[in-house]
Amino acid sequence: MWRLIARKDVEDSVRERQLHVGVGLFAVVGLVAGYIYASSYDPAYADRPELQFLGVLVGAALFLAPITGIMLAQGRIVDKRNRGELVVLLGMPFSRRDVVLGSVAGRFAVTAAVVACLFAFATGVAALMVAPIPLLRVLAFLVVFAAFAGVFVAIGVAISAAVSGTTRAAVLAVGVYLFFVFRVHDIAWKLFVNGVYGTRNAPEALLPVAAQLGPFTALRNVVVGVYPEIAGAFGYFGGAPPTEVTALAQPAVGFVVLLAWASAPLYAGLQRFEGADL
Amino acid sequence: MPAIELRDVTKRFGTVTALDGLDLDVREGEVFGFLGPNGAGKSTTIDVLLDYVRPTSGTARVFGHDAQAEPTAVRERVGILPDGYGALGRMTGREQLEFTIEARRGREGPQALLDRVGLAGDGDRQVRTYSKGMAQRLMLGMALVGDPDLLILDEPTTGLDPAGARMMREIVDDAVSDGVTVFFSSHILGQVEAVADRVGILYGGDLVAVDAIDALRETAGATGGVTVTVDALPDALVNAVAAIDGVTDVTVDRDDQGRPLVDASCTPAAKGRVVKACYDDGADVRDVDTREASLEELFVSYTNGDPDAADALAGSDASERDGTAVAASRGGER
Repeated sequence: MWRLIARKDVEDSVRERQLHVGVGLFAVVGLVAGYIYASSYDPAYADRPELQFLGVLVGAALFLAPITGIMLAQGRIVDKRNRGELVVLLGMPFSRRDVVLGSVAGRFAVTAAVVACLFAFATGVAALMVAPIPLLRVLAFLVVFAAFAGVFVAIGVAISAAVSGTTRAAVLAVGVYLFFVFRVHDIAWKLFVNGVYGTRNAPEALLPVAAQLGPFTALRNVVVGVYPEIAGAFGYFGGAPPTEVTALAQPAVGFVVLLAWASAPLYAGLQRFEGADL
Repeated sequence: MPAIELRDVTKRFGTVTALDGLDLDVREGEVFGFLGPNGAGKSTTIDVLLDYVRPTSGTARVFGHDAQAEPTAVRERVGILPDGYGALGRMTGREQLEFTIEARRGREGPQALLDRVGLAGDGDRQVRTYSKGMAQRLMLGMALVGDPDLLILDEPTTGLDPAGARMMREIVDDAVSDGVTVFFSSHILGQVEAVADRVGILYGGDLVAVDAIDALRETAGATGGVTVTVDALPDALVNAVAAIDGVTDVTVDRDDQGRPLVDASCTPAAKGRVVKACYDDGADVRDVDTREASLEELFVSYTNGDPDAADALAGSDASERDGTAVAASRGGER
């Protein structure tokens, strides 16, 4: 039954023109990204041009894919709850879990389509301007960033299921995104470690621990583990690379961290939603 | 197996107790009217049955399925017209029906349903642009999808014009003749009276009475009566009328032309005997006006108007009277 909810979710975004707006915005960003790459590309001087293209894409997607995912998802259930739509849906043979999982699947499809648009338009422009394109790697990064956006879709739906007010959901979603972007957990952890051991005696291995548990850094750890040359493209979002590689910076750990972010908040949100009065 | 079975259901919202140890049985195939003033707990009861809210304690079953443990099993068999519903996104009326038909695995055609609820020409408009009455009609159409065994209608006539209210009644009647159980809430007494086999009066989160309407009337002492206009009042008439079986009270008044009015509160069967007694005592009868006790009076007497009656009923075992009362009302009203 969750498939029916997911399909409705996708059709809703078409009916509500949400998909049109998203596709339009990301098409523009894609065009600009492709143009910047193709116009700055100089075959005589540039070293490894494909890396430059991927760098532009990663830079844009790293910023846009998660905020798109979480913002498209955060209102999905709480809006229905406030507008009385949920009462109608739950009058049909859907369970609350169907509604939550269907929303995740539907929002993921919409977000992935929008992110694909960014990649497609950037690649299209670059190709028209006859700049070299590493097509397979572009596709691989599309998959990676669609999945990364999916983590934020799951967090957004979790927020939407857990709270009862639309404003609260929106504020919480923005807050969570900024929390991860500014790595508040990392700052707090470093303050804590420095406080316990003193700034001079703080163990070097302990300081970068919390940072590796954020989704952006986890993604960097996964991607850089497989494809080290791209590390520079993560810039600020990826956080400072660990000075000595801790066990937590391994790609496998990063993968687990991302899985945890995709599932744990969603589970908690579902639990809260299951027990809630509409 | 009862269609609906509530056992000691209590629901508190913070410090407010919406339902207070509610016990209720609704039998398969009956039309049960759920009556109560605003805030009595009618919608909360329905919300518990559909698992929109979780009871603080107690159990709710629908066709034997626990409403909280197996909500989808309940929803498979129930057609619901809920309170506080909204449009499904920006769907049109037709799209909403199509979605419902798919979700409930119904075999109906959307157009036939639109026709049936009087929205034949409005199927391609977005539901969020519908008026309250149109939305109510559409929700009723959606409730009928997939041949539910139980219709739960929360204040079904809200926002409907008289034609809509009649359509609602016809649909309920059709459903009942197909063997569907109907459970509906209302604060409009006339509508409950017109269609319900049994009525439950909810007050302050608890049932104060459950019975057939006629039986409730009798118990509450609200029995209707007859007013006879005569041209002169024989001395023995009042005592003669008062002595008739089924008459509970006799008063005499005068109309605006100064003619005596003999008013007897009595059962429906005694009305003819009252008129006959007037003739037999030699009075010339000019006019006869009969009245039925309104459910309103009944309601007041069960709730705040006469707390003693409400208390007495709440303490008595209403279910003992149920069987015969239902049989009588089915024979009498249908």
